[in-house]
Amino acid sequence: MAAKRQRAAAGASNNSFKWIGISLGLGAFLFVSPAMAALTVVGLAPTLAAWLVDQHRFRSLRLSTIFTFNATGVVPYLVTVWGSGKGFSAALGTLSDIYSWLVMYGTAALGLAALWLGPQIASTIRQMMAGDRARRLGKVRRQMIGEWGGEIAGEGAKDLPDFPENEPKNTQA
Amino acid sequence: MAARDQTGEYHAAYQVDFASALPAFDSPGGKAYAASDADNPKHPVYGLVQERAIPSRNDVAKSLLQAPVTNLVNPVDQEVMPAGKDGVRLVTLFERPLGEALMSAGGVHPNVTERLIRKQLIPAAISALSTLHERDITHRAIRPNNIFFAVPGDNAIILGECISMPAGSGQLAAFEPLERAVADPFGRGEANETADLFALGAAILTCYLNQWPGYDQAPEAFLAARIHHGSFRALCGKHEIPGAMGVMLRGLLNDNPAERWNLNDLAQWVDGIVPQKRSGMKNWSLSKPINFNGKTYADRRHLAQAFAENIVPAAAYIREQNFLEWSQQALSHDVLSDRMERLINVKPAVELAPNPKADAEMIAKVCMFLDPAGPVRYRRVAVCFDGLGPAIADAQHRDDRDRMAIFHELLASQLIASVAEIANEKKTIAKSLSYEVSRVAELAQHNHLGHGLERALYEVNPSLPCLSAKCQGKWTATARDALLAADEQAGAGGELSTIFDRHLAAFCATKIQGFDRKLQALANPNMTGGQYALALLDIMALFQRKLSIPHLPNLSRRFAGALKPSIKVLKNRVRRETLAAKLMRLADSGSLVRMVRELDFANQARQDAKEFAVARQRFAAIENEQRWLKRRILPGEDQSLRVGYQAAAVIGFLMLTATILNYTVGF
Repeated sequence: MAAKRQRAAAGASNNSFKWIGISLGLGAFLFVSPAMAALTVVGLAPTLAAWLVDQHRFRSLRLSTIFTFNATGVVPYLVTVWGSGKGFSAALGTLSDIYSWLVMYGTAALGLAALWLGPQIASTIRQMMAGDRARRLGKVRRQMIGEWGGEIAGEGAKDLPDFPENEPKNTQA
Repeated sequence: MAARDQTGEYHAAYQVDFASALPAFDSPGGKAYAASDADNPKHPVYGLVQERAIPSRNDVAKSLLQAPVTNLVNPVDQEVMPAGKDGVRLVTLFERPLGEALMSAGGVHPNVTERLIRKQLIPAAISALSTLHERDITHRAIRPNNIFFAVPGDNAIILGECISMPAGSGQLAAFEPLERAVADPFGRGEANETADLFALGAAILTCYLNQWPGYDQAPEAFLAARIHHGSFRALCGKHEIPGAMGVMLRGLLNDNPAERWNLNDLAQWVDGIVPQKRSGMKNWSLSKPINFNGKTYADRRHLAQAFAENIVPAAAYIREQNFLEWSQQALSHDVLSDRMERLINVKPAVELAPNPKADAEMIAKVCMFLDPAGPVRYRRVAVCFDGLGPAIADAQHRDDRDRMAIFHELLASQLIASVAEIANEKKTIAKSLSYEVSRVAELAQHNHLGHGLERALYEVNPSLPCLSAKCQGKWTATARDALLAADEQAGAGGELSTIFDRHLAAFCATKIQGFDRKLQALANPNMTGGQYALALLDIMALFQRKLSIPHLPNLSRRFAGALKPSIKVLKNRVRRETLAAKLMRLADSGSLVRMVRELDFANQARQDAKEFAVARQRFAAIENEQRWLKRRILPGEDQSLRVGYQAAAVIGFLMLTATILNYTVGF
């Protein structure tokens, strides 16, 4: 219990540091370029939303994916605002353009799509690889039966625990 | 004679005519036939075909073959050869006396006179016996129908052969000293030279009286007469033997071996000097007559005989007495020591329920205590310690199962060892004989293959060939012969387990040191056929190696066949095929030694079982893995999620990097 409490306390401390870091970063960004900071906050809103609500056990991977896709849509506008040297007017111009919203949030949506599609493709590939391995093992089994006779498929199999013991459980996301 | 050469063929040196029987030369050990010497047709010989189950006196034969004895029918050769319908037998060729026996069915030979006895018979007997006794050999077959005129018309006398039968087995009881006369004919034992002198005295008396001693009396009455009046008086019957002849016969027929005339006394008598020897009877009489079973007994030997013949009443009588007090009253001159009392171990009747075996054992001990010079008397058997071997062989020869069972009891219960201790205590047998008897009893005690009565039979009859039914028609005198016989038997078919029967096993165990230890491997009754074949192969291979027999084709083929099931039970196919191929190759080699060495079956079986256990574990693991692999893999599984998210993250990272580079650096 004490250890749990210690771990919880450490987690809270880390979160505090994270918030302080983010606040300081945003503060600095606001100080250097308030227009770009505003554009960033608005553009990365899907990432921020995910960051706030996602409780998945692969949260960090999911956030990385959403962030990188989302940022891919935001970076071109940031570069444009920075390069225009007009500050807020350039930022407002960007935000008033429906296509820029579409690009920034569309890339975030692509990220979400990738998160859905990734496991689908991975499971299909894994299924193919398992089938191949099973076929190879079947060949080994036939060889062993040829060498030792049918008796080898006797009681021994029942005595053994399921393979592999430490394999992750079959759970839905 | 037809001796077998290295190639197994018989080559005639002597010709035996099996159609011309010579019954005058028959003995309990075999039948005699006319024979001729191929190299010297004038040399008169006859052949005696040895009975398989009757042990001959091999050591005596060896001595006589090396150095013949004058005035004795000596063996001239001894070989194994085909003997007509009897199959292969040991045939002993003897010098053939051309004259007749001193006595035949028609009575005593007309040439036999008191003068001939004095001038020819006794000197001839002294000559032959002195040489034999010098070699520590007894004749033990001196009787008028086994003493011959060497040549017709000449009065030269020769004693008949003494090697084809166990000592004393061919004698009438009257020709045996009293202490051995009550024993069964084949159980009379080698005895010592005094027994020969007694037989000589009986033979002379028979010739002198021209009648067989005791012919007109029942055996029991004749024995009682010998016990009460002495053998001389009993053998003479109603006749008086006057003069010097009477003195000589009285001396030779003295029942006390220590007082019996010896060869020197006899030689002196021939020279006209009457030896001055104290003559008296050893005190065998009871202190007071004892009434038993309706009769009165005054002699302890007679009482012992009566006890032995009536075991149940005798046991009841002994148990009713206080044995210590009874023995003190009945045998006042013989002190019953504590040790002796313990050995006899008489238990009062109240302590025991009726037990015929215990009764018979107790009576056997009491009889030995009463008559320590006499034979072991147990149930229907009366046998001297040194006659045990031939007596067992005789029971085997007659296929007398009852007697064989009695001998087995006598040995297996160690009763004979206890009785021998009593005799030893009384100093009537040598300690070495007592030890030998105990050793044989020990071997007979266990009943597994290579032990039991069969083992005792071969231990105490070293000259006996193997009596296994597998050796029927053969003369299997050595372990080598036995193995060759087993090989021949293997060629004739039948179960492998029956090839090596109790006789063959006991015979080989006697001939090969350490063999019986190996035989214990066959003692397990739960062995499968294959296990038995393997254990037997191991033994036979040892046998073949020890005897340096290179080729046993039938046995190797039989073992190859018998081992096939053992190979089939091996799990590994490659191992099975390899061993089967080896086995087939070795089947025709005739070498059991190679079969054991190259198959190394025990090790192969062990290895097979070990590898099979490992393979089965591996197989089970593969099965489990296959079962796992064949399930439907879902996108929601952790592994799929992790890999899928990682891939998506990498794609996102690459896209972001490309965008940044594109908008900053401009490529």
